[in-house]
Amino acid sequence: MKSNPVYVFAVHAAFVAMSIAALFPFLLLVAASFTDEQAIIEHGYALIPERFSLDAYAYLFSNSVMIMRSYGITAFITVVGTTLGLLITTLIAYPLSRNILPFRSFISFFVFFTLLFQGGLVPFYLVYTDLLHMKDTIWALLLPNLLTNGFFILLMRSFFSLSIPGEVVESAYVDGANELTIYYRIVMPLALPGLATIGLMLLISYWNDWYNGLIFINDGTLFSIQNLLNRMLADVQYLQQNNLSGQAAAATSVPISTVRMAIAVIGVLPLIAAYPFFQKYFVKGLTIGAVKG
Amino acid sequence: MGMKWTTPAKSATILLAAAIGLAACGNAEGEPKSNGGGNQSAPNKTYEVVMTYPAFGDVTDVQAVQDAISAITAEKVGATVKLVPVNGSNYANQLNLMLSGSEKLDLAYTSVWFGFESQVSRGQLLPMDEPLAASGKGILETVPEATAEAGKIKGETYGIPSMKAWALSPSLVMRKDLLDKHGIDTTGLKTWSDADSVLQVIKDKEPGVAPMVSYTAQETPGTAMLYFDPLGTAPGVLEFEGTDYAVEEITATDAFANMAALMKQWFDKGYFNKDIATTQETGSSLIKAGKAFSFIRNINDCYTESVAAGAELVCVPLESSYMTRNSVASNMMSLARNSENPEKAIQVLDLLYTDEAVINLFTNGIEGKHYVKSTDGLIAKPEGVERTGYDSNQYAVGNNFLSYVWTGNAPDIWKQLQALNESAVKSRAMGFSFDINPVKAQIASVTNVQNQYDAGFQTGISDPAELAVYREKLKQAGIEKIVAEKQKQLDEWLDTK
Repeated sequence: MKSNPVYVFAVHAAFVAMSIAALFPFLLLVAASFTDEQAIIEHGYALIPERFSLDAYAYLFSNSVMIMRSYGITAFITVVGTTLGLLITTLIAYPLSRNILPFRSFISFFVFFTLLFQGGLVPFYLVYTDLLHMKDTIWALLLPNLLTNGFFILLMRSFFSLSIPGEVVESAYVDGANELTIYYRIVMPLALPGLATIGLMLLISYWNDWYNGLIFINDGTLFSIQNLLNRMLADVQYLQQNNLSGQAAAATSVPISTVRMAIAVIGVLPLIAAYPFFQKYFVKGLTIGAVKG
Repeated sequence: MGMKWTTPAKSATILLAAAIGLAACGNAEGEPKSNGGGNQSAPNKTYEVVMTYPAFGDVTDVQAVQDAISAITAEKVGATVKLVPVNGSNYANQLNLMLSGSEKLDLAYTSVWFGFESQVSRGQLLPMDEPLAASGKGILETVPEATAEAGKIKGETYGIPSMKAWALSPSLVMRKDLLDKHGIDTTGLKTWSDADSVLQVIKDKEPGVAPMVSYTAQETPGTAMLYFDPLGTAPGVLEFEGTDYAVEEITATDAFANMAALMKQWFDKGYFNKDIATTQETGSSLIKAGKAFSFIRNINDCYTESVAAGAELVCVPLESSYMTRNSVASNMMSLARNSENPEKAIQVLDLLYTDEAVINLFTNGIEGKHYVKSTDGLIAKPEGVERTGYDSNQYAVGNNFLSYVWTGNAPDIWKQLQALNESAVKSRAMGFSFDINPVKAQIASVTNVQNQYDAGFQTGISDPAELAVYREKLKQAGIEKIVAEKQKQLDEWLDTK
């Protein structure tokens, strides 16, 4: 099939346009973070900074010890959380995909039920603070909400039952493998594409999480990066709008519009740096699945 | 193949989950936490008073401050303190969560803006009259009786206001540089409409500068012109002067109609930007950017406004300063339901109102580390230090008039503010709190209508002729029922007085 040059051009043009549409706001954000605050107030945002300035970053990194520690916390919860999350999700999803599991439909329903109904904020908070005493501990960043969710479990269950033929599992039995060996040696390698998908989603949700930190963490040493940046922003905004006298002078000299942009850049940077490597693996995983299917 | 997917395997999974949960418990209790202070395990059995409040800015050094305060309180009242600063923007939410569980909490910052009334009606705050009489003598002597009324509900104290500037002055706030440049005399300004002449000069001679802007999206120019006692946060207002206690619907008053007409006139003359009703830029930042000349606001003092705007401002009060329940009860300290020892809690609170060392530690931090004192008695950040680790947290808690004054303020600023507090017109219904429960649904729908129309009239975008439409919509939303309910409750309150 010979491709029509007009068609190729049209397709390329459409994709180039879409890429620009996706890239432009981000570039504008990066550019704004390097612009002088006054220039933004006077002339608005521009791709080429009117007046170049590092004030926003200087403000954020005047607290660099805290920022570095927060990065550490976020890295820790992201790695541990994603690993644990994947483990638990597959440990529930895989058995659910096997039709020899007793009470299968009841357990499935139980999982599904959590998707439809939630306890609400107050009970949620009470369980983790009064019952499990997780307030101001690292566990509060790992467990609530994020570890796994019903949707991931159901997704993985469908993935297991659709893409792992029962025959493979049976032949492993015949060879004398026990359930744990089958799960670990046979099922997991075959499920790589699914794991990559869910792993990526878990990773992003752990990286971006600030809500758990907001309600469970008051101890500054446990702030994750998103939580810390969020708090810095909220504080600056508040001080700017409601002057509590005395130190208001210091607060109002903060370049708030550009700080907002710099915060976004700092929050997203490590993820962007890691993404190409992850994506390579992610795409490979997907194509393996595609060929097998 | 002995164990298929039968119960043992399943319970193994559950066990794993449980183990994680248990490990979490173990961690929380076993590991000596840095901010534990002297809790129940300590041999000397000093009671630890846990206090939560909103903090803005950097409070990383709170542990050091807490230790310093505890050293004083342990000696004076035999209790230590644990400070739990909560990020200010999340405080209302967090307070409700903390009050609903069995979390240990003794003193909680409360505010009429953060649901004080409903916290009381849910029984989450303890009545304070008895413990105050027993161990809060200093508080009772410090807080003027008339203002202490604001923390009462049905005659019982549930919150103690922090000592600060309570009086608000509805003022026209203008840039001094432009006033001087055009030789404008402000002494003739007596009423809101007098401002016209000044704004016209700026309009004519300073292209690119908006003669007037909103202070925030909520504080539009017209807002501060409505000179009434709001009687809480729901509709229904009271005149400051007079002897009858007639609750009025604000849009029905002459003041509202006059305000709407004046705003329309100013808008038509081009004193406002076209986007005045919707912009998110604050008045201070617009002035700072040189794009605006003035705003109208209920201010505490002119200096803070100038600091915020980064320019010297002139503030001309155009109504008498006033003090209402809202302005007093916006910062209070209450006893939380979970307090195990209200007496010790009140004793600690008493020190925050009477002990200069304690309140200065709390608001300004540790001398030499978080601030330095200069020869004139004023304080400033240590030379060359941008971040001290403890940003000053003024106004919210305790007796601020005992705290040191930051450089840049008038040295006698506290005296001035106290004098203003005394001279301000006081609300005649300081101790009246409106229970919104009977008219909750109406308030919700009225608020919707207000959100749609209010800003329009208060920025002159809407034609005053449309006021009838607005009032009709309010009527449909049930505003009359709210006003009637407020009147009823106010009458009942008057009977008990």
